[in-house]
Amino acid sequence: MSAGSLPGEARPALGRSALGALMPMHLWLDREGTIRGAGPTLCRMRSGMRLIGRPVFEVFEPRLPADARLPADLVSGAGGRVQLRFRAQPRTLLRGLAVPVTRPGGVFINLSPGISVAAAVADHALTLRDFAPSDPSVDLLYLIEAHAAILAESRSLNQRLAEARAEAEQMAATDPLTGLRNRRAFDTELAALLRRGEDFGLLHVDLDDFKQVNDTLGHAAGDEVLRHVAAVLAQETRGRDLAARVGGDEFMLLLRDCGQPEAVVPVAERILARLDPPLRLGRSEWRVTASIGGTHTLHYTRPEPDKLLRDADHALYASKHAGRARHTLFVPDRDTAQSGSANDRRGKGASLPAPRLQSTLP
Amino acid sequence: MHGVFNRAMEAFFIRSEGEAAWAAICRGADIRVTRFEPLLVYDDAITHRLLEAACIALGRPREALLEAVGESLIETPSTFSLRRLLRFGGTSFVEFVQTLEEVRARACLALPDLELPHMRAERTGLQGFRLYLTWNRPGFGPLFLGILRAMARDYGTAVHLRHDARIVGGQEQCVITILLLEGTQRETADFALVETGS
Repeated sequence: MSAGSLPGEARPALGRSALGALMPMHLWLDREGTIRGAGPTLCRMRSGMRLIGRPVFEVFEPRLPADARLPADLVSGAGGRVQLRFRAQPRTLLRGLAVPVTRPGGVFINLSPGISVAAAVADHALTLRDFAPSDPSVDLLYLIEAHAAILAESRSLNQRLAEARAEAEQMAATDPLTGLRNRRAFDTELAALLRRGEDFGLLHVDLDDFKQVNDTLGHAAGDEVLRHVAAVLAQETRGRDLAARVGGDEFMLLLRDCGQPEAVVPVAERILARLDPPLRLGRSEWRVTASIGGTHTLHYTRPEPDKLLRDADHALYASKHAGRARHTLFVPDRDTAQSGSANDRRGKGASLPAPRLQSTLP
Repeated sequence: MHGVFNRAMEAFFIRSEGEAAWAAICRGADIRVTRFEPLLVYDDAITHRLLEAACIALGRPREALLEAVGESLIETPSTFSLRRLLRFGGTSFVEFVQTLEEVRARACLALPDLELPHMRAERTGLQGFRLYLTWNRPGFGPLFLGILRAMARDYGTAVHLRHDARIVGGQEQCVITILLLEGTQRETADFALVETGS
């Protein structure tokens, strides 16, 4: 006895169209399993094919209970739960509940496409009118569509964020004036190369008398000089190398895959040669010169950032002391360093303050 | 306000006035971004400043702009097809209006942080409805007027719409009067429950 009815109370009798409106996908079978009634949506799904009067298992393949042979099996097999699949294309799988009909007998099944409602709607061109207002299938369709749209939007948002992040990282590693890498990027790369055990050359480039440019010609001219030097450094290094502006007029180069320590010499010489011609700044000309100090990881049994930087700095100091516009390379365990300049080719060795630095002019 | 709305403003102004004009509006509103993310929620002040700057830049009243943005929300094709989502609301414009409160519930299913006004429709005779919108954001009635106008067009229904605002219990209530014009049902724009062939 269901909770909603009282004994002796009149039972509701529903006409075909009322049943169809309430349950547009219902199926009524007689005792023999012949289809006696079908909801309008179910009929639409088999457009061009008569349902009424045909044996139910000729139209549908029972999936649950799979061994159903008689209409009564649909009711008893799985507690009334049924899954029926159209035998003809499109072979939509429908799920539902089968209950016995007391008068005049047979089985009544209310079906629904369930979770595969989107495919069913697409395959059978169903519309809003094909679903009862009590059926949340349409809300499910709505949700599927909204979900897909939000997912697409979310994907594109993540894509944009990833791009923005890459750009921000790039900006955080770049010196805004010259476009070279900045101190932070240099420190990170230096540490990374050492961690990976790579061998490389390090050049410390410092402009000579840069303060004078600023004082005499102004900061705009000073900025132009820095951009000019940066362009030279960028051109004289390869893609794998790193050129960074690490201070006001100080630059660092990391030269990767350069073989022997001496291989950094031609790079230093080219830089000095490229800087040699006077630079036009507004109405005046200025001769930009730089001093360079260098070292190489092969000089160390255990290269460390501080050691490399200190030795390159000593070598730079030696270049400055020897008269500027030249380069000096750190050489370990010797009393001398190698030094040379692009324009000073008189063959005279520079006097050196550090005993470990050796001067050899090219 | 929800990014969906700010993005709609962005799309509307870019489409009707061009990228440069939109960038100028954003500058005028003192907003650093010019692109809004439809999945993020922005401060209401941003929306207000944008509207104010747009009114000045285009020399149009706020009500007219909001109404145009509302129409564009429905009529501009985008990933997030609001028009399609609203069409799930019924097979006719009348059905749509009568089930608007469900639209709100459905929108919450899709975007839980999308705050929409409470909506209630009241029949006024055979050809009319009165729609009551209550929202904690005053002054946005014309936006919904635009959305309704575009939806009526989409359903092929000729309507006359009027918008009034009044204060009820300290909150603004927007009243939209809908008059269905007789014998003017035109062809309805296509709506398939599942989008195919896109």
